[in-house]
Amino acid sequence: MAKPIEKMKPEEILTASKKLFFGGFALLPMLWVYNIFYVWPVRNRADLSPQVRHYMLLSGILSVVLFVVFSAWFGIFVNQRLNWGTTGDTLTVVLVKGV
Amino acid sequence: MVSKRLRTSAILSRVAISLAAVCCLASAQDIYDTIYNDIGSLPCVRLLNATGFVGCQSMGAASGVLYRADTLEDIKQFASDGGLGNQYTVVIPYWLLSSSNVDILKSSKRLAAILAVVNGTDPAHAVAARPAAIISPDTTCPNCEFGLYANTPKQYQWNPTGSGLLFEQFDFPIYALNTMDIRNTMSYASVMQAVNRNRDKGYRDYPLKSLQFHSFMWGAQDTGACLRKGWCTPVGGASVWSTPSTNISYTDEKPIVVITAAMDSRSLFHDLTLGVETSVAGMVTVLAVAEALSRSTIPLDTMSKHIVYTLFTGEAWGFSGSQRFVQDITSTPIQCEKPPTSGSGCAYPFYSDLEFQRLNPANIEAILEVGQIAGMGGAGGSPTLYAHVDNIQESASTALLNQIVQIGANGSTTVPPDPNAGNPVQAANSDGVKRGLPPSSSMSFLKSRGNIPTVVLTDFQKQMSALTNHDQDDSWNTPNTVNLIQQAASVISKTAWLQAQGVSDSAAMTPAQTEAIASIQVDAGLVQDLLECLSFNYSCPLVDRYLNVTASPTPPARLPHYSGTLYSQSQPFPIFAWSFLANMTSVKNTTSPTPRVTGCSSMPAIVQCGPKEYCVGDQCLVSLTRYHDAYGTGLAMNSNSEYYIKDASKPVWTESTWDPIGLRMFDVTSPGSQIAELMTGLALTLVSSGVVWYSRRFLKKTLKED
Repeated sequence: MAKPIEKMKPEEILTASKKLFFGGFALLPMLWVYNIFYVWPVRNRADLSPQVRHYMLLSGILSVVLFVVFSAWFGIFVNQRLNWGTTGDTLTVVLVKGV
Repeated sequence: MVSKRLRTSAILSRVAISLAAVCCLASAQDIYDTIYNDIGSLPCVRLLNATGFVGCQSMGAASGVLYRADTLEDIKQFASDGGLGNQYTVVIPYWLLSSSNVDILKSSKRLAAILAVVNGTDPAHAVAARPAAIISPDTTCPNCEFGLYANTPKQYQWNPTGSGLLFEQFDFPIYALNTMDIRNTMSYASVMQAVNRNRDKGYRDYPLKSLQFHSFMWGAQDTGACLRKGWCTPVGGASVWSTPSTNISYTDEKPIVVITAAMDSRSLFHDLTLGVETSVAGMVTVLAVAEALSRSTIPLDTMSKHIVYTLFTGEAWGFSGSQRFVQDITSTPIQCEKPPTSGSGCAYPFYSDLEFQRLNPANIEAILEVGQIAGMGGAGGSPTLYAHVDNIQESASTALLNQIVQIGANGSTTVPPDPNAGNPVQAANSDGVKRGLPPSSSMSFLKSRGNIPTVVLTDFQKQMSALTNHDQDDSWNTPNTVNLIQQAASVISKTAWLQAQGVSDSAAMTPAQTEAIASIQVDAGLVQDLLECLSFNYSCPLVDRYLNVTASPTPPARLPHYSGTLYSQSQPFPIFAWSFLANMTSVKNTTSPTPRVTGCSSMPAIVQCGPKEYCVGDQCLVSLTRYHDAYGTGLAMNSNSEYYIKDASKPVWTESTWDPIGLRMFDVTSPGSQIAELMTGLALTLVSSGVVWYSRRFLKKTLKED
């Protein structure tokens, strides 16, 4: 059983946060979102390395940026895929009949 | 011992489970039968072209309480009756199905579906109730965007009253009812019984009869998109061409006289497409011409010109059949990259037959076409035939036109022409207005070479019949129609014969020629039989002689004249046309002295036809009669046998694939009692959950105490 973050040493938290941040670049952007929620309860601990907050902030920024990018792409895709012809069909996993 | 008991119990439980399954399945079917009554369906479906789609579609299963509207007032009453609180299936006579009336029905926000009665026994749906002014559902100039004058700035509008209903998009189901056979009459009767009961209850006294429709069309957007996804099939079928000149070749430099007509038609409900005015009468005329010419005492294959009969399918869809035929014969020689594994033709590029390469388009010297000719146009139909010519290269056709008018004037029919009617054949431009050709297959030939002498014979001068591509073209004046067809067939056969003989002036004929032309007589009895067989009774003795249709357990009667989708449906009319023309043009009818071998169909084990012979109507014969693929020239098939759009400016009509289509009737309770049922169900669920929870707690307690 993993240790709750409240009982972790500052360097352990730093390692975890760092791993989560860099892990996000391995096409796992949800790790950035998780990073924020994971570290959130201990964000104000006095012994915490300032680097942790740094990673949290960067994770947050990247999450927001990606959220905006994905949402925009989703909007464009849903509205435009029928106009893209073959490309649209290729990008669609399940073709919707009747529309 | 233990294992044995276990095995026994396992078997027993399995038996019990399967018994339960059987009983439940049976009761599921019983329950279905108690609730639903399946009704025969004649749907309006979705069709697609290069730019969009037309026809009917519903995304889900639409259902609505049956509501009867016989008049425009009833429709308005339905729309304004605020007391109605449901979704409705409105039953209207077909002639009230117009875009404006549909808008009124839709404005009520209560429209689920429409049932249009084309013909019914109720006085409101009978033929007598049809309005005098019928409006064609086609456009004001049918297929003109693919015709000869497509690029002319102001085309003459041949169908000025056309409503364009066929080109509307409906996002709800529309089905037809028609008492044309026993099955459909039963459907009509059960719907009428139900709708009348609803009406008697004032549409408010539940339970009411409701209809549920399934009309989900897969294809969307346009032909390009749906072909790519494989959700539609090209509209088309098989054209037929035939010639008595079995020795015709591309290089013989012998001129060709083409006699042509269309074989298919379209209407809103494909199962009801009849097209007697649009195509059947023309097809009958060409078949009658072939029969009349086969009697010529001078064999047709010895004449100075070839006679070629063409009957095109897909003409209602942008002249798909004729355009493809012309495109193919002008592409000779065909480069066949992949020969077929068996049979004739070519696997890629696909051709079901390659004999058409023997026809040289440069040799075509005259085209005689039969258009609308049933005389169902206006009040009683016109007894006069009109000969139309192209107005761009008019001089090319003048001589042919004069010849036809002159032959018409000589009273060449066996039925004496009405003395008050004047010349039975008139030049359409005799009133001084040059309208050019009406929409016709000839346009496809003229598009490739404009100076071919061409005459299109129709029963109208200025305006196409209001029954053009109509669903209501199911009653006509038989003697009038037979007379017109006979007259047209007589004029065309004599003109073609003189053309083929190279005789321009009948005064200059030899005695043998005079005798031969006198032998060409159109058989009125045959015309009448063909008309009846091809419109209402495909199992008639004439068709049966060729195709033995009555051997089928369910002999066909009235068959739709919609071309169908390519290679996926049987082609009854092309098959009959092929057999009939093969018989009429076979060499046995002309030069060969030996009698035909019979029995190839009735005694296939004993009598077998020679390698170059066909078995037609139990006789072995040699004939140059071929099918030709008919589908939009804008479409092409790739090496994977998939269709794609090659040229979007040419016809590319496709028909959508669909989920199983159907409609079923059931009783619907009032919205109030439906809510009550739901509430009761919810309450029961809650109560039983409470009981379970309480008993568990109670039992736990009791058992603990023990």
